[in-house]
Parts: sequence; C-alpha cells; structure tokens
Amino acid sequence: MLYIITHKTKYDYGDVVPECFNIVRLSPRRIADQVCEEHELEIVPEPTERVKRTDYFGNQLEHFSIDSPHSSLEVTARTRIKVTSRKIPDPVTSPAWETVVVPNSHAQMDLLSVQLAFDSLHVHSQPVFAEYAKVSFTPQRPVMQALIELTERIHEDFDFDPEATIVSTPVEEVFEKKAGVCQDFAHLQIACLRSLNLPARYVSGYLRTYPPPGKPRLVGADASHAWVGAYCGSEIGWVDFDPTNNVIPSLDHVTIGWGRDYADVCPIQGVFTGGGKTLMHVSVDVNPKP
Amino acid sequence: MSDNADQPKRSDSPAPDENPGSRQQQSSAGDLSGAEWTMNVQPDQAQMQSQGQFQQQRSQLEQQQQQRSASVDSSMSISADARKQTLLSTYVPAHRGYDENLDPKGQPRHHWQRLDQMLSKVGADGMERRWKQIRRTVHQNGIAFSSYGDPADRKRHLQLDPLPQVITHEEWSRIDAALKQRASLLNKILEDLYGERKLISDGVLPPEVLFDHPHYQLPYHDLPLPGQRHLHFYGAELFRSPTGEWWVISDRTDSPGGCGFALENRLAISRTFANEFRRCNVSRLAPYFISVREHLVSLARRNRENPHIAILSAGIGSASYFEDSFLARYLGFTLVEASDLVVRSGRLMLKTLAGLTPIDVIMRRKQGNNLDPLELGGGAPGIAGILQVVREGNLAIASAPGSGLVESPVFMAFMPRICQALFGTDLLLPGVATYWGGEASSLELMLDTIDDLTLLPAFRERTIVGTQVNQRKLIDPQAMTRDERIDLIRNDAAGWVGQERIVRSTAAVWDNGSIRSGYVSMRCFLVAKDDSWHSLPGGLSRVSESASEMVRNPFQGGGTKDVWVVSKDPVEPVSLLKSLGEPVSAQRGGGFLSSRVAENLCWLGRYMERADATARLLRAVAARLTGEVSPADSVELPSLIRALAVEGRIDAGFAIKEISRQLPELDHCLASNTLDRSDPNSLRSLVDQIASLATQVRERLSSDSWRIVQEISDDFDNSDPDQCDLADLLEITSDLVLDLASFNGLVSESMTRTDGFRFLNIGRRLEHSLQIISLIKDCLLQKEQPTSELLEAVLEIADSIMTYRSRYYANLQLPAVLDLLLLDEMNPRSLAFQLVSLNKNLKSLPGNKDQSRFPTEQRLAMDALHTVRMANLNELCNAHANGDQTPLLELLETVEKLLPRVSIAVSNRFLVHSGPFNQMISGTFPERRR
Repeated sequence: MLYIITHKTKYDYGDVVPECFNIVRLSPRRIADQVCEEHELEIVPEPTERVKRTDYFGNQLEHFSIDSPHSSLEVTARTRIKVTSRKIPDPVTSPAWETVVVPNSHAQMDLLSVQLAFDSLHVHSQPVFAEYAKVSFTPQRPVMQALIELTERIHEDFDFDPEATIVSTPVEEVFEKKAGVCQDFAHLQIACLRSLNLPARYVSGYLRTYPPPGKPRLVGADASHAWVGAYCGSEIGWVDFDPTNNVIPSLDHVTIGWGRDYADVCPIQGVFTGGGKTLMHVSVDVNPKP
Repeated sequence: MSDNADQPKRSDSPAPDENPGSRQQQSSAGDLSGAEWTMNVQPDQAQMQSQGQFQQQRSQLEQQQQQRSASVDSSMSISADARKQTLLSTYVPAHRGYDENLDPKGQPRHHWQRLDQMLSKVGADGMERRWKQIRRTVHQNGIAFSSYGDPADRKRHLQLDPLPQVITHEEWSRIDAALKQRASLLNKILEDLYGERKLISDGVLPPEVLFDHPHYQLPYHDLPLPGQRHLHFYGAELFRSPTGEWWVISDRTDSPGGCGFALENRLAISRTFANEFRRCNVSRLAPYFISVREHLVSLARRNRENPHIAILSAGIGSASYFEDSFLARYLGFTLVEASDLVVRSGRLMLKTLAGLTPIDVIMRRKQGNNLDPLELGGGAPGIAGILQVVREGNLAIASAPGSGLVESPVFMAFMPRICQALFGTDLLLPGVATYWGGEASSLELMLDTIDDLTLLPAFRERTIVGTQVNQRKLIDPQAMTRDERIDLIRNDAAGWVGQERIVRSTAAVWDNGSIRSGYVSMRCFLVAKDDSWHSLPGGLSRVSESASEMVRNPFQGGGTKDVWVVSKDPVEPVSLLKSLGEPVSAQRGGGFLSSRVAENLCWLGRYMERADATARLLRAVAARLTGEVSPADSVELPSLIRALAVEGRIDAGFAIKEISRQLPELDHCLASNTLDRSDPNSLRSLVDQIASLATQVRERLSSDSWRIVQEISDDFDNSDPDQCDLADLLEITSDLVLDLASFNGLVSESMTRTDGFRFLNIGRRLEHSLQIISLIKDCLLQKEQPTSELLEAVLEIADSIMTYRSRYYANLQLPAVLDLLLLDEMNPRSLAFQLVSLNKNLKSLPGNKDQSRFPTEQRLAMDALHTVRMANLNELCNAHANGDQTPLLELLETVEKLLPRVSIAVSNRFLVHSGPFNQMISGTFPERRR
C-alpha cells in the first residue's frame, strides 16, 4: 500500500516571537514493513539553522531554530511511503508472559528492551494497572494471547472521547474516567504492561481512515495516531497493538518512531520567547494510492 | 544481624554491628606521622631548650601512664596538667576516638608538635588577635554563602578557625592516589552507563539504578566528550574513623562546590600566620587552580589559542553564587548566567553591549539536569539548544551534563563491586558501608541494623525550580521513631540507602580565647589533568560541634579549617595571584560588558542615589525631632514628614495628624520603619538592594569600593530595629551618607571610563534628577509659601546649603534656592548638572559615534536638559508668589515624565534579555478524533 501523507501544523502567535528552538519528529523511521520513498519538511518562515540527526531509539529528527521575529510558524511534512503487510506471529506459540518479565530475564534481554519496562515521564507503574492487566495475564499464558485480550479489553472498557482528556492528563485519571484518545489508551496499555514488569513502547505514526460507506474521503481530516509496541521474547521480538482500534497494526498503520512514551516521540516540541496567546491548527491527510 | 555471605562482593563493607574501629581495612591509612617527619627549619636555642624540658616532662608522664591502667580520659586530664606551656595543653578531645592534634596518650602528634610550639609563642592574646584578624579578612573579602531569595538569610560568612587541620605529605599521597582512583572509577562508570552499559548487562548494577534514576536523560547518551571524559571536576567528602583511617562518605560529581572557600581560607590563614605557614612547608593550592585553567583551555574546540571560557552560575539566588563569582575573578573567566546566553547558528553566545560574543568552554556550576529546556525540559531558566551546540562540537561543558548521575548515594553501595568489575582491584579508600534497600539481602540488613544507620534518599535529586519536589527530600528519617523508619524503607525500599554512622575524628578549635573540641570532615577537590587528575592538596575542612551532626554541604555554613599538607622538604614557590593573572584569558574580563552586568550597574547607581536622598531626608527629620527647638514648634517639620510619607518611608497617617499629638509614636516608628526589611521602600531594603546588586557586579568594582558596600551592609546588619532610637538613626543615616560619598569618590577615582562606568553613572544621574524633583515637589509646592526654615531644610537635604550661604548669606529666597537646585550647571547637586552628565554618558555608549540621527534615549535626555535650560525662573517664581504653582509644577513634571522614558529607551537598546522560554504546545491529536 502506498500512502501520500501531508501533515501540516500551524502556530499563530498573539505577540511576536523573537526566537524559537524546535525538534521535529515527522520523518518515518526505516523498518522492515515500510519504505519511505520521499520525505520533505517545509518550514515557514525559513529557519536560521536546520540539522538532522537520529535519536537514542533510532528515530529520525530535525532541529531547527528561527532567530528573527515572527508571528506565525508553519511546519509541513510531506511523505510518500510504501507499507507492506506485516507477518504476525502465531499467538498460541508465543512464550509464556512470565518469561519476558524484567529483571528476571534481563541477562538474556537486550538493554534497550529492559529499559522499556521502567517508568517514564508520563507512564508510572501502579498496582491498579497490574490488577487490571492480570485479568488477561493469567499464569503461563502465551504473551501474545494475553496482549490481544488486553488490547481488546481496553477497547471495550474505554470510551473514545476527545473532550475527556488533554495532552497532559495523567494515565491514572484516564483509568478513572474510562475515556480518552489514542495517546491515552497507548499510555494506559504501556502502564498495564510495565506494572507487570513487561517492556512496552509508545509508537507514533499515522492511521488510514475509511470514509463511511458511500461517502468520499475527506482530505485533511485525518490525525496523527499512537499505539503500543510490546516485547514478546527474544525470538518474536516486538509486536504492535492498537488499543484504540483493537487491531494488530499492519497495512493501515504508518510508523514514524517509538520511545518510552509520548514525550520521546512528540511530533513537534519546542521552546520560544514571547508569543502571547498561541493558536495551533493541525491538519493531517493520509491519502492511500492503491 | 544476617551474615555477610549474602554479599560476597562487598568485602570491604564492614558488618554494621562491629565497632568500626576494629575493622580490617584494605588500606591502612591510619596515623601516618612517620618518625622521619621533621621541620626543615632548625629550631633556635630557646626552642630546643623548651622542647627538651617538654620532652622530659613527657617521658615522666609516659612512665606514669604505664603504671596506671587508667582510661584514656583520665590520662588525658593528667597530660593536660603537665603540658601547661603549649597551646594544646588545655585541649581535651570531646571523644575517645581519633584526634587530629593529640595521640592516644594525650601528647601532640608528631606533625603537630612544632606548630603547637610556634603557636604557643604567639600566646593566647596573640591568637585571639589573629583570630579577629582572620575574621576581618574573611569578612572583607566577602566570601559568604547565601541565598538572596530569603530575606531573613541574607548573607552569612564562613567561620574560619585559625588552627589548621594538618596532614603529613606521606598521608596525603595515599589519599591523593585513592581519590584519583575513585575519580577515574566514577568517570568510567559514567562512560559505561552512557555507553555500553556492561555494568548492567553483566549484572554488577541492577538496571533500575540507571533507568529509575531521576536524573537519567536520554540526550546524555550521544553528546561528544571534549577531553574524552564525562567527569572533569570531582569532590569527595572524607572523614577519619576512630582508628584513624580515612573514609569516603559521599561523592560530588555534578558541580562540586567548596574549592573557592578552601582557597579563601588559605589566603586568610597564610596571611595571618605567615611565619608559621612558611616554616611548615605547606603544599600550595595555586597549582590546582592553574591546572583548572589549563584543563579548561585544553577543552576548547574552537578558538584554541585564546578560548573564551565562562563560569556558568545558577545566579544570585543560588547558594554557590559567591563562590562562582570568586572563582570567576580569581581565574579570570567571565561569570555568566543562563539568561546571559543564547544559541545562534550553532554557537553559544554571550549577550554583551557590543553584540553577541561566542563562548568556547563552559565551567558548569549550574546543575546539568535543567541546562536545556528544549531537550531536558524543566521550568528553571536554561539555555535552549545548548546541547545541540555541544553535539555539533562547538562547545565544551565541564563537567559533562549528566555527570551528576553517580553522586547518588545508591552508587556508594556498589562502589567496591564496580571497582572490582572495571579495574580488577579494590578501592584504595573505603567508602562508608552503605546498603541499598533495592537489594533484597541489603534490605534485610538495613532492617536488622536500623538503629546504627543513617537513612538517605538513594537518589540525590537537586530541586529544580518550578518542578515537583521529590517527596523523599521532605522526609527526615533521622527525626523518626524506629518503627516509622522501618515502615519508610519497607514501603519504598529502592528509594533509600542506609549508611553506617561513624564518629568522625576530633580536632582542637579556637573559640573566643580558649580551645574546645570539634568534629571534622574534609572535602577534597580534583580536576582532570591529561589522562589523570590533579588534586587540591588538602581541601576544605568542616567543623561541627556534635558527633551526630550530619556532614553538611559547604554552603550551609558552619565552621571551617584550612587544611595543611606539610612536608619535610621545602615546597616550590608558586607566585599565587600573579601567575594566575598573566594568561591571556585574564584580559577578557575588561573587554566587553555583558548586558546583565550593565543593567545591574545601572540599578546599583539608581539605588545608591535613592538611598542617599532617603538618608538625607531622614537625617533632617531626626535632627529636628531631637534638636533644641521643640518639634512641635518646628515649622518645617510637617513638610519634611509629609515628604517622607509621600515617598513611602513612613506610614502615611503621620503626614496628616498634628505633630505634637504623635511624637512618641513618631519617634519610634521613624527608626523602626527605616530598619524594616519587610517594607520594600524602607532605607533598610534600599541598602539590601545595594548589597545584592554590588555582589552581582563585584568583578567590576575595586576591592576598596566593595569594602565600603560591605561596611554599609554591616552597619545596618548591626542595627536592631527594636532598639534603634533617634540618636541611632541620626548616626546610621549620617554614616550612610558618608559611605555613599566615599563609594562615589572611589568609583570616580578608580573605575576606568568604560561602558560599565557609564551605566553606573547613567543610573545615578537618572535617579538623582528624580530625587531632586521629588524633594521640591513634596516640600516647596504646598499651598502656603515656604518659610525660611523649610527652604533651609530643603537646601540641607539637597546638600547645597554651603554653596547657598556662600552666595546669599542668610537671605533665604525661593528664586535663589530654585536657581541653585534646578538650573545651576556649576552645582554638582543641581538638576541641570545631573542632566548634563546624563547626556554626556549616553553619548559615549557603544554605537553612538557615527549615528546620523540621535538615538531615542539621547533625544529624550536632551529634551529634559533643554526644558530645564529654557525655564524662565522669574516667571515661575512670580507665579508661585502669587499662589499659582502650575508653571513650576509643569516644569518639574515635564522632566519627571521624560526620565523614565530615557531609562526604558536605554533598556530597549542595550539591555533587553530574551524573555523566559515557553514550552510550545505540541502538535498532536488536536482534533482528538479516532
């Protein structure tokens, strides 16, 4: 499947911004199931400096700074990417979840995976999350079976409600409200897994959306998306789960990058001086080309 | 007590229930006062004799002691009896452990004997005199620690004991080797944890020690390392156990503080005890600071011949600010704060009056974890983009951000094992036994021996302004009951370590003419040198009065001692300040003026003039309240009191009521309001502002000017608001007026005519102008015509009475007074004179030479001067005499409105800092749709 993705973010500032420093993570990383054919990042006004690099997890990112006064900032990422269908391992033959627990098995596990079993800025292990997860993680159950059931339960138990949370809402509150958006569900599922000492990571990317039957696809009406990667033992490695849609991502998901939680893969992060009241407008268009 | 078999790797961790003194140590530091240790100077005959007598007495004493099987305590009281003629003979250690001065028999240790005799010759009176001298020196040099955020805790000076802590050269070499090993090890740990992490994969360190560490940050993994190392500065806290071995109690790797205090102590002691110091062959401290400079220069990647090196301080609000500014002056580096810096085109730049100047090397004295708000987050002011500058190879930061990771107490529990794993050897200097609750076997041990342990948070977290304070920091386990302590570590085992309590060594301390006993610990300092380390010989010795007191950070105060590392050979002479003054970077200091310093100088000028005007007005009022004429009969007093009230110096109520009815109240309030620190308008607060601003521009002031500021501040510190009466008020205001005049005199005599001088002057002239205008408005623009007494009082407050009398004798007339105070450009106290000077200073500011148009601030200032020059005094006074004060008021208000605009224009053109950074609202899920 080929996608043409346009991701536009515009900031309108109430006051002049004399300078800003930013990091953008909108360039899809190289992974087995996707090939990025073209990617460009357009920034208006023209930055004083632009530098590309790779972060700790291997995600691509770009630094840019503007040191002349400006009152708006527009960042547009255009991506042409080919996604092939993922080979999903047989859940029944996956190892018992207890064998993947950190630190019991950390000697056999690479440290990058071990690290993802620990708390991070937005995700803290809690007994309530462990309790919730334990319903699916019964003794000796194959880890993928347990993960599929946990993904399904989050999908069932939680309402998708953009009004319920904001970007900084803690996972604990999401758990109480039983509502949120993809970011919240991803954080929640990660919290459940880490509360059982299982490595889990936050995946940032895009999702193909299907228009209602008989209706045309609305251009620019998509959004960036987030889901979860879970470690399933050294043989299988990492498998993705999307609690928002109760699926194992494949052809409909485009991966930008991953990290411990949202903070590691935030699409645009930055600091600026001045600015006053800021209005932000985002439009995402995920256009499938068969 | 569980057995130690659980912890085979922790071979040097002593079992907690043993007496620490009886332990087997890997290293035997001990009392190293070898028999070969002698002084290089031949003692004179008299001394030989007295020494001979002394030794005779001693051998008698030893025989007595052998005959008795008495306790150490009783033997000591006897020996004290027998040692009458020396300084230490009255000294009795407070504890039976190891004493720095006396051996177990109560005799001066070998390396103390000579010093003891030399100090005995100084005598008790001499010692007392020198002690006071030291206090004065320390005070005048202004070494102090404070946090200006807390008004009750303005400034405290280090207490420096005249008696040094003496360590033999031989003993020091062993400490030195051990500290170098430890510094190398800590650097190696950082290298591993930010690199391969074999310590974790090999199971030496549990993963949570790194991954749950609150200061672990991903960006630290990929920063290039100038000098091929993380750790450039290392501080270790050491103390001696009762058997005399040295132990490490904690490590400082982020930005260790205290070496500046050690140097200040040395400067004060070596000056006061010049003779004794010279004779003892004390290792010099200067080579360490030369190494600091050489090392920082070697780190520069750009501009290698003449790198611009800056000391990054957390600012006046931070505890280490005084030391930061001292080191900057001593090393000749630029003192900067985060708000002085900005990243431009991949370089770190300092904002100066002349534009942006690149910086090549940062000596980091601000904690690393809030350095870059872009990559590390945090609400405290940082420098956005600074880590990317490091990544691009355009900046060296020493120590590397992230090096604070290993100073957490949790690492103390693993150091012996890590040393084996990384170096294949044992630690040369043992650490105090430390148990981490995160390890099951250690937790058991902790619970079993909880009474013998000091509980500390496992992870040392520095509080970052604007972020959540770690709850563990708010807990004081030492104040808890046994059960509470057990609950604490049971519920949060991985959050705590237990550190064994060991009594530190005792030492003689000079205390108001006599000797008492204190407990000492020593902070040592190392700087990277090539592929090894250079240690400061000795360090900062800290004295506490009780054995149980925790070792505190140097900025929390307490007593200190200079540490003398003495050798039998003469030390090589090092020309201390001179050699440090010569290198090229020293010239940098005068080359440019950072915008922040310029702004502070401007405000210093303003506050000084404001304090001067206030003091003169207060003095005039106090003089009239205490004079021969009854205050109730003083016709000018109500006007002066009204002026005080208008300026907010006293309660407004006093301006309304009749004087006679409120005299006792007024007497009291005048003094107490003046000294009221909580009122920002009080004279006391103005003086505080002056002290704070002077501190921040100290590298621009001569040491004499600085001393005057110190004296002003001290005078006010010594005045008690509750005790102060009108006579005291008269005295402190008169002293202040004099001190400010001498400050201004020194400044105009000694300060080079650079931009710094100009900004100080601009502040002074602006404020002085405003003060003259206020005085005239408050006193002379009343309904009734001013009396002669009032005119005289105004002239007195405006410091122009002598000039007036020389011209007009006793004939006091409003036109003549106004002419002298407003228009006379020859009178240095007149408004016109201030405005002329203001214009002259503005004209000399950078970038004004080739301007085709006058910049805003100059046009406004010229407008003000022009307004005054064009004033028709006769018309103004005629109108005033006829009851119409509008023309005079208009003149004053025109100028009064122009001056703040001058100030704003100067600020906009030269001083504007970029504001605080805002975190960008991130671009995700705005629509919050599925």
